[in-house]
Amino acid sequence: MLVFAASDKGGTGRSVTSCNVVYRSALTGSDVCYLDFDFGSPTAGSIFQITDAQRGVRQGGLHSYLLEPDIQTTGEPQRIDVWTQSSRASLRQRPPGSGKLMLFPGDQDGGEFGPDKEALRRCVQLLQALDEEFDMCLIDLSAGRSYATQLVLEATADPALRGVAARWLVFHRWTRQHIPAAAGLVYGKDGILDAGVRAGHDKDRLQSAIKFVRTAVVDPDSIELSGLRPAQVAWLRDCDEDLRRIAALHQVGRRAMLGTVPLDPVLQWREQLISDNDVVARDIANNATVDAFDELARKIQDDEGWAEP
Amino acid sequence: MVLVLGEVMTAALRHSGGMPRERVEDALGLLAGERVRISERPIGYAVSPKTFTGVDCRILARSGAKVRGVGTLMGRACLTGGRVLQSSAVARIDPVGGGYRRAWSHYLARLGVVEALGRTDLPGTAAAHLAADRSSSTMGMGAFCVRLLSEIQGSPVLDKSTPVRARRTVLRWAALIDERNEGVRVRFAVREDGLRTVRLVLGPAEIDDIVDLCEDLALHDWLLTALMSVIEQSQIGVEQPAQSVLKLRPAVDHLLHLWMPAARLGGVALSVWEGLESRPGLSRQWDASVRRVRDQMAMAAALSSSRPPESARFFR
Repeated sequence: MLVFAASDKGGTGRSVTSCNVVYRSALTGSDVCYLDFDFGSPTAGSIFQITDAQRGVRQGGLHSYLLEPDIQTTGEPQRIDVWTQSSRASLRQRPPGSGKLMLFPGDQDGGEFGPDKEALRRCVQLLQALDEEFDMCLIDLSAGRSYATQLVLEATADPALRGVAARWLVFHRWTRQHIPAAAGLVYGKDGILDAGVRAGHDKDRLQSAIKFVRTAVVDPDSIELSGLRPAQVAWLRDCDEDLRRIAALHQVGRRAMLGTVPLDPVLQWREQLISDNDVVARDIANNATVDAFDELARKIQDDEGWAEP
Repeated sequence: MVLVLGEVMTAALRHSGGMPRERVEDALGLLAGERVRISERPIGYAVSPKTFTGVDCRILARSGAKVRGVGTLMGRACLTGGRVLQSSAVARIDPVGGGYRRAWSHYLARLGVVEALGRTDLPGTAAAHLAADRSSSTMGMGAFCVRLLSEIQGSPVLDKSTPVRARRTVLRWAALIDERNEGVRVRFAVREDGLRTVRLVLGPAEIDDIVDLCEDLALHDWLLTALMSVIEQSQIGVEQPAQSVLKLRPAVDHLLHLWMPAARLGGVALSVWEGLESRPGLSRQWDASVRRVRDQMAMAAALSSSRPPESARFFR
């Protein structure tokens, strides 16, 4: 299965949430990989804490795999086994029964690029090979209407990838600006649906494969907010209600939503994987955050939520 | 002395069941007008027509030095048991004096030959080919194999669902052929990253026979690798036997019946297999793994039939 992670704006927590979801899936025994298609600013290396690839690798990353086939003699991009290469001790102990957790890093000196027939062909070959090996491949796209997004839309429309499940997660913060922006990325002019139809996708089928993920959501009823004054809680409730109305108006409401990730300081400031150790032993991250990741990981693979209407 | 270099890439065909004979031809028909060769006994086997690609690149000639190599690589794909797909790239390296590239017609008259322009040490070139890690491949053979494999895996006659999740393995080989050699010496190595290497030193032999042998080795090494990974994932002894058996199922459905070393080989290739059976002993490891799978099945069956009555009602 291919899962594409997109967002209209930066700073939505797309990458950090995606990495955590991939990590949680691996813990449950699925073989998973994470492809850093955010060519302008590859950051997955730092989220997985790979010392040599904090901002991408020096050579052989995804960017050069797609764009410099002349110097690529193997037809395969570089891969990093997170279970053995992470500098974080709690990640290096691969739990028994867990699946593969592989990172395909970007290049340090990457950058955005324009339409390229050869890049499309290589992208198709790569997704095909990884689909043979992994239960889930998560492709993290750069924010906004990037060429990377157009590239994968064209790749998934290719006959060679017909029959491979492809699902889209669109991340947005739960705010007045982010909700319409996320809607615009999907439904707007030159958005995912527009570009997808141009690439040869069926509009309804593609739309049913796109779900929204709300990030940094403040839940007025959560125990973390139990210290607030009643007036503050009431105000939060009003805001939340208002946002729900806006979301429904923009077709980003409950039916199009896959899940929510609560606001968590550890996620905001550290931008790393949250391990069970962070929640249980160190007590710095919230249980609800990990539950949200588990829930997302489960729902992504659950066919029922993705059925066509 | 003659040097032949090659690379074999092996993967599970992206099709849920075995591919029926009449559709194999559509899947492997890389070239219009050329026939796919198919045989049924002792195991289903189909091989595509040969295809060629031109190269003009640097090749390692001796320690540290590089020469220019110009010519063509031979490529082909084959399918065994309707389930395991392989692609091969092969070239004979002919050292020639003088540093000029000739007209392409010259190279097209020598298909499957790459001429090394300059002083070339053949054993050194062979060693460099085998010593490289998976991220670099002589003359872009790896990329050629990927291209052939991808073309078939993307074929519309396949349903694109992979029965066994496994990484494509790469087997690189080098054969040094010398008429003075008697018998055959072989060195098989399992490297990290799904890479295997085979070094052959032998007397007069047909290149096609060597390609057959190396593909057969790659096939069985892949089967063993895939089976071991299924067994590892099934967590025997940790999970409940019924759960483990569920995870072992792909191996029983798709892998166990394909083990048939040297099924279509003869002559030199047979003796190579005999040597490999004593060390590293591929068949011994395979047999032990298969017994392990069957024992788990038998135990799961025994345990499920002796279930106490109060929990048995769930299964009515």
